[in-house]
Amino acid sequence: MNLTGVGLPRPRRRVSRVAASAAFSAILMLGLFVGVASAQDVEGCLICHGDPNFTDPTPPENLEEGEDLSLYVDAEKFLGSVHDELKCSDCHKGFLLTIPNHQIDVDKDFRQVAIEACEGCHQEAFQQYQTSEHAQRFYEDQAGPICISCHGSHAIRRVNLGEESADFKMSMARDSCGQCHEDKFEQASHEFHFKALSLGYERAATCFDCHGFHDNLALTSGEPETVEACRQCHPGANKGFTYFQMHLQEGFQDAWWGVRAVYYLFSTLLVVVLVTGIAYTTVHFQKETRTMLGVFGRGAGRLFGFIRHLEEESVKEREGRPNGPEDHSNDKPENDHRGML
Amino acid sequence: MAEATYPAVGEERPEGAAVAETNVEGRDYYVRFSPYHRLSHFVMMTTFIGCALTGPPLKYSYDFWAQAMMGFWGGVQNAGLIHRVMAGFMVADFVVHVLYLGYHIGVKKAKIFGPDSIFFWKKDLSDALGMVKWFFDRGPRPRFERFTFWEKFDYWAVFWGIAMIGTSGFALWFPTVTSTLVSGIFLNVARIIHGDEAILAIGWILFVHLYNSHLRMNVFPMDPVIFTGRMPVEHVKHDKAAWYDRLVREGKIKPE
Ligand code: HEC
Ligand code: HEC
Ligand code: HEC
Ligand code: HEC
Ligand code: HEC
Ligand code: HEC
Ligand code: HEC
Repeated sequence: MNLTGVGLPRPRRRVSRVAASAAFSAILMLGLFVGVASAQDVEGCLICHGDPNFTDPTPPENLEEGEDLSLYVDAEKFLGSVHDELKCSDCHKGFLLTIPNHQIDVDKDFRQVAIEACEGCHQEAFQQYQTSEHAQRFYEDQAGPICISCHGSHAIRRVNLGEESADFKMSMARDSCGQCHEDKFEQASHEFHFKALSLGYERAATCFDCHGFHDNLALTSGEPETVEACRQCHPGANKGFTYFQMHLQEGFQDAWWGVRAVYYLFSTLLVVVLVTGIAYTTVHFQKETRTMLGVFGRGAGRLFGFIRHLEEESVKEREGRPNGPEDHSNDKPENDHRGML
Repeated sequence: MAEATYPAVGEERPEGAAVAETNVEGRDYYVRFSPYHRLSHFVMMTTFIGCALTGPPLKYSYDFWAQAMMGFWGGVQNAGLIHRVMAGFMVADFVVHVLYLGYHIGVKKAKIFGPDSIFFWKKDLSDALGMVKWFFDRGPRPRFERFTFWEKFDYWAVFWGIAMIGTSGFALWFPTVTSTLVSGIFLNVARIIHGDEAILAIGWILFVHLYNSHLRMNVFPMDPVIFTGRMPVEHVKHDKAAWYDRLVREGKIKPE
């Protein structure tokens, strides 16, 4: 099998050209005199590629002016990855420690060579991948992901299925699956599982817990595979359970009408009740404030002309009426609505 | 009226009849809430706060304060546990209260509508209108009976809240049990209800209940009656004039 024409964007890094070529010359000298003869594959390659400022001295034409193609490989990350025992040339077949032309077969795209290498050592994973919608889409128009879209290349981590950290689950969903399935990620992120993951609850499900990763990606509510997917963590799951929707838009525009009806009803209730309550409290508060100002300084409560007006009106209206029992400020008869409660 | 005797503290008295007390400073108090009422409110309050502090961080999990709050609880798992324990006690409190209501209405034949009842009645409507008029200096403050309309509203809001938040909460707590009864899509529905109603309840408590019951001018900064059960008679007179008149008429308290 052959993974043709990898269409992934090349990682780019802005590095000063002058500095880069100076560094390169220095390293070239170093490599010539020290590295080549003695060093083994990994260390040897890293003499040049382990320098953060190391860029391609003969960059491809399509690079923008002022930009450089970084050829840096983070040695720490590589040696911390699951492939720490591999040689660079296990993946980069045909690269030798011969300077300056260390690539033997220049006609073949080195990326493709490296990607095809995965297949050689990970037969099983590759076979599974072959059956997936993703592989199909990759061979069709390269829209589907390949090994390195999900795993990366130089910092591949060990897989501990079932013991993934919440961080990893979240970043896999956001930075891998979510890059291509933006809508599905956005929708799922409003559901319990991802909210819990984002707060560090590693038992909650991420995309690959439900969908799998190499094969069997598609899930449909009500299907036995979906029931199985849920049963990994919800042992009591039945067919009805899978009608729970992981991927609904935030405003539920695409949801069953029952969901939408409840959503509109309860949102409206929320707003109406709270607004009424807060409005009531506010007018109560203004009354009390005015009363209080009246108590502590006669004139202060009358700052507002219209309130003063209302007051006078009501005093006129009630002239001659006996005071209610709530009236305890009987110093002035017109104050019977303004006194202590 | 003036001949009535006033039962003293600890004196034998008919069930439900409250009593007047005089404290050391000579201030007269009226016992408004029985120990059960106070306990029931205390449990409702603490469990509500417990749920209100552990739930929203999950709903707003992507906000920085939510992360910090979850950190305080020690993660989703702990917060979830606290949330469930609190919810359990809250529902238990509620169930006990429903039994209490049933006992009083069914066995003791308490009147459902009347001045001593927490059920809404006609007067609440005119009280509410009167209150609004009073806010704008258009009339006197209504003469309230034992329970004002906002107290009744807060009380019944708990019934609504428990029905909505409690039911949806149990549905989400045991999702696979729920799905044996109804389709899984109702779990989505339950989540909407649970979240919306919780925000409503929290907003109501913060902006309406706290103000009307504690921050009002004549009880500021808080009204301890719900914890002590005792209300100064002079306070009864100011706040609930109709009730005060009735208590005096019935000889339960000395007129001020
Ligand atoms: C003396 C420095 C030096 C050493 C040592 C070295 N390389 Fe390179 N490498 C370069 C330079 C310069 C380029 C860019 C020139 C080019 O495009 O061929 C490069 C390019 C590459 C590329 C990218 C090829 C491309 O077309 O862009 C790969 C992959 C690579 N090296 C792998 C290796 C491996 C594997 C080793 C160890 C076996 C190694 N290199 C050792 C200097 C070095
Ligand atoms: C597991 C296989 C694997 C091993 C081992 C590996 N590489 Fe790579 N390398 C790749 C793949 C795949 C790419 C293409 C990555 C891409 O396009 O994103 C690549 C790209 C590169 C490039 C091009 C620049 C870049 O980062 O895209 C350089 C340079 C390079 N590797 C050097 C090294 C060196 C040096 C080592 C040894 C320390 C090494 N590689 C080990 C798989 C590997
Ligand atoms: C030379 C053979 C070889 C090549 C080529 C190779 N790998 Fe590996 N890979 C291994 C070995 C060996 C391990 C197991 C390391 C261990 O368990 O310590 C491994 C482990 C892994 C793991 C972790 C599996 C686990 O169970 O933890 C992943 C993922 C992985 N490789 C992906 C890739 C990808 C992607 C590529 C291509 C870019 C690739 N490998 C290329 C040999 C290879
Ligand atoms: C759609 C994303 C995706 C693609 C494409 C993909 N993988 Fe994986 N792979 C995963 C995930 C997710 C896991 C398991 C979760 C984890 O990393 O903890 C995994 C696990 C693995 C494992 C260890 C578990 C096992 O089943 O053995 C290996 C090895 C592996 N992948 C190799 C590959 C290779 C080789 C390719 C390319 C043929 C590939 N993967 C393509 C996402 C992907
Ligand atoms: C490089 C982009 C890319 C990445 C990364 C990617 N996918 Fe996909 N995926 C696709 C494309 C393209 C399709 C086909 C889409 C279509 O037909 O609508 C697809 C299809 C799917 C489907 C639907 C299959 C079907 O039959 O409709 C699922 C489910 C899926 N991917 C899950 C995942 C998961 C889970 C991950 C992460 C582990 C992931 N994808 C990572 C591009 C990607
Ligand atoms: C809790 C389990 C679960 C998680 C986590 C989950 N999904 Fe899904 N996903 C489903 C189910 C179930 C369906 C089928 C829904 C339906 O029938 O409409 C689905 C449907 C899909 C589809 C459409 C498949 C099709 O055939 O149309 C895609 C694509 C997809 N999910 C991608 C993702 C991605 C990307 C993530 C991570 C961000 C993710 N899912 C997380 C359960 C999950
Ligand atoms: C990786 C494990 C895992 C998988 C797979 C998984 N879940 Fe969950 N799910 C959880 C955990 C953990 C909880 C939280 C349980 C708890 O604490 O009560 C949960 C909770 C839920 C809840 C209640 C959440 C809420 O909104 O409050 C629903 C509904 C749910 N899952 C649906 C599903 C469905 C449907 C599937 C299958 C498509 C599925 N889950 C697959 C781990 C998983």
